[in-house]
Amino acid sequence: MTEKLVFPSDEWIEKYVDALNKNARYEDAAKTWEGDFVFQIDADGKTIPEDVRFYLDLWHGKCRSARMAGPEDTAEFVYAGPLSNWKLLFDGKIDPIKGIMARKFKLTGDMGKVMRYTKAALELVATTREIPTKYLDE
Amino acid sequence: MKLVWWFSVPKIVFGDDALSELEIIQGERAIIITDKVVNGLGLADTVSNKLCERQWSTAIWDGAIPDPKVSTVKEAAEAMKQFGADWIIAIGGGSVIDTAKAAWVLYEKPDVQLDALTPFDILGLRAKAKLVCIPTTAGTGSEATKAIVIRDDETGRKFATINPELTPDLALLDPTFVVGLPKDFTAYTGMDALTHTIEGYISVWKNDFSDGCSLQAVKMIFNWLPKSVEDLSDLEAREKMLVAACLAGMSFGNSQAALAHSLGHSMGSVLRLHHGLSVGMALPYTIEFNCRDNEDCASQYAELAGIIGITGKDHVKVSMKLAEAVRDLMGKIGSPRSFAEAGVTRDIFDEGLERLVEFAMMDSSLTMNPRNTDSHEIRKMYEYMFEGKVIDF
Ligand SMILES: NC(=O)c1ccc[n+]([C@@H]2O[C@H](COP(=O)([O-])OP(=O)(O)OC[C@H]3O[C@@H](n4cnc5c(N)ncnc54)[C@H](O)[C@@H]3O)[C@@H](O)[C@H]2O)c1
Ligand SMILES: [Fe+2]
Repeated sequence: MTEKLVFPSDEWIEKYVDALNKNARYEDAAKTWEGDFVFQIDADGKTIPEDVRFYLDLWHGKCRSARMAGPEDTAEFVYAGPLSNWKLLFDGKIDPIKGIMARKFKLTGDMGKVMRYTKAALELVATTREIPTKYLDE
Repeated sequence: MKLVWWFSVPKIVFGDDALSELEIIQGERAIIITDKVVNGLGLADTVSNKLCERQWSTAIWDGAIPDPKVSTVKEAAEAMKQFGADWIIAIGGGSVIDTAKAAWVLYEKPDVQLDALTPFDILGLRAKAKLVCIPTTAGTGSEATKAIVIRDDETGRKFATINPELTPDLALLDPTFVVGLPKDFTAYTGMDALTHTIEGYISVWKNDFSDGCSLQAVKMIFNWLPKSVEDLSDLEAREKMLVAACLAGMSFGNSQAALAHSLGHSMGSVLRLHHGLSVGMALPYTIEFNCRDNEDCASQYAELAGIIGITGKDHVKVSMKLAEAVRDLMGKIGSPRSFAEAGVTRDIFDEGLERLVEFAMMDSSLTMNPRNTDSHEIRKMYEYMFEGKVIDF
């Protein structure tokens, strides 16, 4: 059985970037996308004492660089929500755009730009399903 | 448990003398937003006269154009400001209604960039004015939705966006306002309504409320669209289609449209084909495409097919028959089933194909389509649509 990787962690991010850069559908949908993201798992005062963040630099259908990030790291977009909602997202129970509408996630940055690339956003999420994942609270 | 969601619709007034609602609304200054064709039919005057009897001040702005551009919307917003409207009354097809909705945003919030407007923005509409919509086409259902579709002046790209505050306050459905609509537009706008009701039912954002509206609308459209095209003065058929289009708007407005709209918006942008003609043409192909890969979606199409008497155990086969029934309906009412039938030549098609694919890929309705697609499949779909070939991939 493949070992499950903790989301998020350096190992998880490495596997994820690898999978994303092989995802032809992502490349196709994001071929003109330019913009970096910080993704944030919100602190819950229990298992997650402080916000956990990671960074992806997405450029023309590929991820140019990625790493765990700190509170001071910024990017053009920040997508944030509690761990329980990240689980719903990865399980396909909510999509990334509906998630914002239903107030499960918060997106800061030019939302109009994201709305022109919703296909790419769906592929970003779909790619997580290729990574055997366990969560910070497991 | 289901994710929190909303079902929003305006107050809808229908039936005999729906316009009498104008006798009870409270206000002083109404600006009527319309276009030259509709204004020429005297419909704006009918409404204006009703309000003037109650000592309202009214103004008529008739500068709307088909598939409104940002610049046209700005002109309408300026007219609202000059007049100091406390009610906006849109009288027209989807182009007029969307012009009014988008101009309303700029009237209330002049700094908003329309192409950056998202479902998540808090606009604070209604501080200055409320919105009444009186549709003169039985198609877009825009009188019942929080959606707007606007065209970028420079690129010509039509962009669709939704915002919860954009649901009109009031929709008045009066069939006498639709009788003037010629045969071709009656057919095309009816196909838009059918596309809304079917896509609203298979969208991944579907919900029980939108489903209820779709089920009734499908039944009504298959029954009444041919009649309303056959006899343009059949007031009963006009009224039923007006109600069905509004129900279809209530459906997709709360669950969103899907692939046929992405393909169709792009056709409107690049080839300047009418919206209903475009999404209607795309509809059967998208049914054939979506049902292959997704059992849930196929069973949803099968539920709709059941309403018009197509049944069977194999949901994919039933879905394919539903697509065939849609094509038959289009044949009957004279709505083109292929680019060739729509008079698009091979040269024009080839020249536009790259941009057709590019714009379709950028269209937000793709998010709600049950089957994942990529640009290669979209290109192939357009190719099949050129020749009128049944989708087999
Ligand atoms: N906001 C939404 O929810 C929504 C939904 C679907 C479509 N749309 C948009 O709506 C637009 C299309 O609207 P439409 O299909 O209603 O067509 P339209 O408003 O563009 O009108 C088509 C033509 O018919 C004429 N016309 C309208 N009513 C008439 C009448 N009663 N008698 C004679 N002529 C009449 C118009 O002047 C115009 O020339 C597109 O831009 C489309 O993208 C919006
Ligand atoms: Fe439509």
